[in-house]
Amino acid sequence: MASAPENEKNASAPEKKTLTLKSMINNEEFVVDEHVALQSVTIKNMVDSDCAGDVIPVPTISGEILALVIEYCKNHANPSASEDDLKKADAGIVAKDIYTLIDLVLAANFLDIKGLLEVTSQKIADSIKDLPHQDVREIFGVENDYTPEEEAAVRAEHDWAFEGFP
Amino acid sequence: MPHFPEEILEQIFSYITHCRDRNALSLVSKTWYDLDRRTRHSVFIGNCYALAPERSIKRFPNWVVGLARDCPDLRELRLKRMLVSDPTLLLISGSFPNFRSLALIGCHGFSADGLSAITAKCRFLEHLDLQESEAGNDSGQWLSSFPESFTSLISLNFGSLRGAVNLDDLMSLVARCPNLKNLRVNKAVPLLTLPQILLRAPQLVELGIEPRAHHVDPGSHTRLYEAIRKCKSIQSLSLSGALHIALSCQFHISAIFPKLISLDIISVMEGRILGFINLLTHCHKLQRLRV
Repeated sequence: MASAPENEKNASAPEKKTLTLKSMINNEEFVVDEHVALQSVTIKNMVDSDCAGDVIPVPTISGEILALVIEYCKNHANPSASEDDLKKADAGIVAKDIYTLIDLVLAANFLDIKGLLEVTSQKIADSIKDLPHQDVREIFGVENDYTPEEEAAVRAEHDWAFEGFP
Repeated sequence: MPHFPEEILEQIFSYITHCRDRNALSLVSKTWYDLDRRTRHSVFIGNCYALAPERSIKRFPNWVVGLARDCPDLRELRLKRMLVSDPTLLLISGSFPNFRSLALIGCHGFSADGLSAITAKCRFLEHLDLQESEAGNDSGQWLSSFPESFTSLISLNFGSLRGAVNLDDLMSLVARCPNLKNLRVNKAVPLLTLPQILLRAPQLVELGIEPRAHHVDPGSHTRLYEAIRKCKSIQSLSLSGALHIALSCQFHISAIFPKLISLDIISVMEGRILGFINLLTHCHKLQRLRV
């Protein structure tokens, strides 16, 4: 039988690489395992192209939101988590008020985390669908660009032509 | 918030499926109106004449041409009391790869050839509802155009069509659609054949028949009710004036009617009122009755 290779491979676990994410809104810093942070396509691209220093600055995302994002990434980086566990954990993460959800969906979009974008969008859809459209305007900071006549016309279409179908 | 990325809004809109919710959100702003238009899966136009033509063209330009261009993911279309032409049906059949449901309610202007385009090309069709509609040049070719590999039908209503039907093709279609829950056939399907059809669809929940003859031998009534009784899930029966048939099979109907939630008789002839009332005493679960 052939003998064992001369050069002993480094069998000890490789040192876990970490990244530091820093919210540029309130300068809060989060030390995260690299494989957790890499669920963000944006961060992955930075790391892959060697653009990432020791500290990765994250503009426009507050520490509070960043913590939620990291919680999501940690859950989904855990290989032993079952689909059911993840569903429950996701539901917990998005059980927030509408303004937090909007910050979260913007963060998910900026960091390019598809799953988080989806669950947050779903939750937002559920939260706004029963609200009066004036409230929705306020929540999304949308300016009403309808003239009163135009708005009445759209409303009339709904009343008479497009109504009554589930 | 100065700018909310449109791709996120699109994502959010994709989770809003109810037309009423979408209508409400399209009042938020013109951008939102536009988003709704681009991402709608279903459009129901209940009364086209309530809509100024220029509005309808703006919103869903040129009917289906506009829908095809602006709503490629459309899955469901319900048109009521409209003129629908064969080219329109042809366009529908070729424009929406995920098309699932077509309802033409009280519509006219199309022929069985237009319907054939739908049945031949909409591979995922689940619902085809032609209630109160008429098709020209109908020799049942539309029904025979469902491909052999087609199995997705959930409901089929052609009770108001006047054309013939190839009964073998109907039986084969029913047999290969395991999810068929609602079937409403026209006068061309004879009472004698119905038991054979029902035998192939024991999962049926709603059945509508249009009996042609008023004097068929009682044996075929009995066989029909025996076949209905074997459809364990049956909840809704529409007899279109065929109360006499029901009344002549008291034994079997007492096995069926207690399960019914909906009963549609259309007309009760004088002299049958008592029998009818007696029949209703069997309907313990009835929630909806049309006479």
